[in-house]
Amino acid sequence: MGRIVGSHKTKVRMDDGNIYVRRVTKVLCGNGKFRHPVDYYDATPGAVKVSPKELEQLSIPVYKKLL
Amino acid sequence: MESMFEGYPFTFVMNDKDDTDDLLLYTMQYRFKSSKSHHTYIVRVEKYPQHVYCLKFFDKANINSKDKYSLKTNTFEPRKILYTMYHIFLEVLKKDNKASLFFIGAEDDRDELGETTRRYRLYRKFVSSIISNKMFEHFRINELSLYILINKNSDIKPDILVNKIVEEVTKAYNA
Repeated sequence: MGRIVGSHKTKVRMDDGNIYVRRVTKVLCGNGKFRHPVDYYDATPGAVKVSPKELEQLSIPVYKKLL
Repeated sequence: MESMFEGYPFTFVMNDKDDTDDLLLYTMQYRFKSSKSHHTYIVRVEKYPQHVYCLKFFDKANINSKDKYSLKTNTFEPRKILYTMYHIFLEVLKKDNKASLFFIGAEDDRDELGETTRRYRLYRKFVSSIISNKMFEHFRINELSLYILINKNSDIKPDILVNKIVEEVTKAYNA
């Protein structure tokens, strides 16, 4: 909801060496106030092989593996 | 009762040859119509060397737009469309059992260019939910919003093939 007016990114290196980006987005709401939602994503450069554990974490529980 | 895993029925349209890309061998074009929104979608499966395929789709209404892969349809039926994509990929796998697949989540008006787009996050979640790592090795490249499924029957080592795909996609991004 609202209109994105800007975002700010900070790189965070975790203890295991993985790099994450912390993104704070500035959103202008209809009432004139601002929201600052935060999300994180993995920013490890290059191709990353998805491990079985990560695959399990990513998957939606009710969906069946078809292949 | 209709199964959750069913997609829309699709038809093969044609094999399309294009000289604009040196690596592109040909494109298989499919189409399907949504019985919910009555929108028709065009699916393009591009074949590259080493049994590598790229899956793309867009709403037929946006066919002439240069942003056809980024535009939102607001039909609220992504699951059924994505299952249709899955069944189209199975069709490709029937023809070529060494097929590896890659796709890019195009950015929409809320995304920044290329990086972990909303579409990419949705596709990644869907693919990791329905495709296990028995037949395919999964690779993700968040900075390009690129997801690669390497077939374990492939003649080339997965790491080499992945690097090759990433190199070519990066080139295409910078072109």
